[in-house]
Amino acid sequence: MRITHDEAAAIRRVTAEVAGAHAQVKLFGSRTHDELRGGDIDLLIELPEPTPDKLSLSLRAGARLQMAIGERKIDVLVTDPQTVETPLIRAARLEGITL
Amino acid sequence: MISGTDLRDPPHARLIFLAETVLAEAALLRITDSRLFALPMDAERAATLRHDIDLAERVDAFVARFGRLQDTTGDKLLPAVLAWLSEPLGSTLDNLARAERLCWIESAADWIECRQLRNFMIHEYVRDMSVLAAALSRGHRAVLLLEASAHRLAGLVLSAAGSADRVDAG
Repeated sequence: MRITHDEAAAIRRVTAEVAGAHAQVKLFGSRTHDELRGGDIDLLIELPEPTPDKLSLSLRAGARLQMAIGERKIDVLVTDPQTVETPLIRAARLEGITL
Repeated sequence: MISGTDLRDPPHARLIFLAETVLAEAALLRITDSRLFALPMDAERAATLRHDIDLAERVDAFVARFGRLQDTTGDKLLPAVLAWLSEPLGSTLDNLARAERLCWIESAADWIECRQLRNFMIHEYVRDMSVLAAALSRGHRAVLLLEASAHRLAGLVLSAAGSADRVDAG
């Protein structure tokens, strides 16, 4: 996994602030592969309860993370139990590393 | 009162060019925004984007113009104005925080959220039409904020340039 200890801690903290203590956050995509370099930070935040405005949560989490860990491309997907599972979400759930 | 160096100096040609550019970009965004959101954007309308080529092109124009205005204003004009006013320059995030303190933008956090929003307005990527519709509607509401910031920053520059011209002519 190619993020620092501090970055992982910031991701966990921002997730809890924005999505609540019971939300889970996973790192997926290129940053999970040690042999690659660079790349976006792709995150999947999974909410335990149905939540109406997941777009706002995603935008807020992405913005706060940029302010916490600096200017880099951070993409945040937010799902709840009602989210239709696309291939991207399925892959993120299966291959993602829980932070 | 905010004052920078004399805008008649040659290095400021770029500053004036950028100020005029954001005004042009804001005007173009306004046109596409009015055309696209003449009808409300909901999931049903968003789903027609796959077949309605004209509407899809209009959405593409909206997203492109939204992005251009935000990037030219935040990444080019803002640092150029800060430099002109001898304000400290930093990373984009530092500059946005400075712009918020100077009341040029409403909120640095909202500005960054708008940047994040751009990914969710790309209709080829987003499979959930309710998310796409929500993102585009949010983009529509954000146009006012982008425009206000663009006009505020460009206004600082162009009013100073106008004053310099008037002094010259007198």
